[in-house]
Amino acid sequence: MSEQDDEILVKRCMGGDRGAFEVLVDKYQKPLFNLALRMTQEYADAEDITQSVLLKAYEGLSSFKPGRKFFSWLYRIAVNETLNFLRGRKFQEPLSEDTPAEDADGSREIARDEASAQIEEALMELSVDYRTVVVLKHLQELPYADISQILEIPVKTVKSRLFSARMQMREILVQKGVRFDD
Amino acid sequence: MIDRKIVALINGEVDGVNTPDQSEFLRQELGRNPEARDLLESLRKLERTLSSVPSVDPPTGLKQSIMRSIPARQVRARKPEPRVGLIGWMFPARPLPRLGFAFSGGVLAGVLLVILYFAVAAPPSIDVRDASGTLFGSSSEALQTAEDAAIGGDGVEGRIITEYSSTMSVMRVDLTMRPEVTVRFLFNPIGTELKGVTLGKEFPGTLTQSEGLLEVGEGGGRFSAFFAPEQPSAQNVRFQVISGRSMLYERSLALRKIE
Repeated sequence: MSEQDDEILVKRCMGGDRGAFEVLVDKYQKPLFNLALRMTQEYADAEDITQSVLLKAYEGLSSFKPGRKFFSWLYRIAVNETLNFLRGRKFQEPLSEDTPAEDADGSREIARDEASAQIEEALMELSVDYRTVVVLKHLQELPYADISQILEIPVKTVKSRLFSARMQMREILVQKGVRFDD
Repeated sequence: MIDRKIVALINGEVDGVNTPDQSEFLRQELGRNPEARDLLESLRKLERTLSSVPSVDPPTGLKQSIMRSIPARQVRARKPEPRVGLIGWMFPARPLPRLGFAFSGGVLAGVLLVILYFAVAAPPSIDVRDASGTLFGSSSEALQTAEDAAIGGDGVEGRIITEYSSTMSVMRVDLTMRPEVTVRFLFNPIGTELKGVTLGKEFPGTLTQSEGLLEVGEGGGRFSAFFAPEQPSAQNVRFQVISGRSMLYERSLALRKIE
């Protein structure tokens, strides 16, 4: 589905068409959820953030400027919401190192292998700025220009942050025993 | 030491944005510079490792939950486009100034009538600045239930009810806990202000409060916490039951229903 389709759906939403918004939720809930999950590493928090982002987007559709990429606008809301959440979480002390990733009934865990676990741990050791560019570039697979638009920083800054973030992440992973020389 | 220009080309190569000429130049450079070659290889491996992280499906009920929250909400109308020409002159988008004056006059007259009423006819009012008692006295502040959760399981039993009005949310908690168990209520202090806590008549446990956290221990008891959510649409409290370093149970409690 193209950007043009998104714009048509947004127009239909503005006219009160709930079905059009449902299509947008269908399309974007997974990438937004994964963005929040990789930034917070908490399944339940990612769920709350995704819900909040999509509701805020719905309420603020009138501020979306036609001609701009809808997903950049939506990701911008998501990044801000996630950063606000992380700023709030800074005030809360960690509960325990072995806190399981569970949902409300305590039954679900995110399936992950050892490599994924190491990547997730290394991501959490990066600063929020570095983590954001790595998640957008490598886990969301967005080009520099889109990341620049979402974060409202020049492409040059995206590139330099990405380089520093990768170098730092490589160091962290080496310390964790991941080999890069084979 | 690798030249900055080569470092930029290495990053471009990893991201697949180099032109054929740039790639060829880099290839020649890598032949002469083993350090640069190692950097490219390690960044490529990092890229592959990152790409291998699987995408996670969102919770199955997320879409329904979002769509259920929407009917009562309205998309704010876009500002009207400015009208031009004869139609614009006859039916301006903005009200004519004289209508504004008439409206202001009406409002002013209304305010004067209210002042006159309170100055002459109304009975003296009560100064409530030092009063204590219920926070939700008027019928316009009637509470609605957001959650009514029965808690039962490892070490904790009881009930948590969250209710809300247009301006506040109250969380009524009645928990009996094993002494070694602690329960925590975590909230985002940026979006949710804790206005106060009242303890039940018999509260055998301990209750400690810090930014973004209420913690109950040593047996628990009954208490009510009052919150003023600044972002009323999506503020939740995380409820956690902890024993030692293990989390026994965790769930989200809504401070208000999304309207």
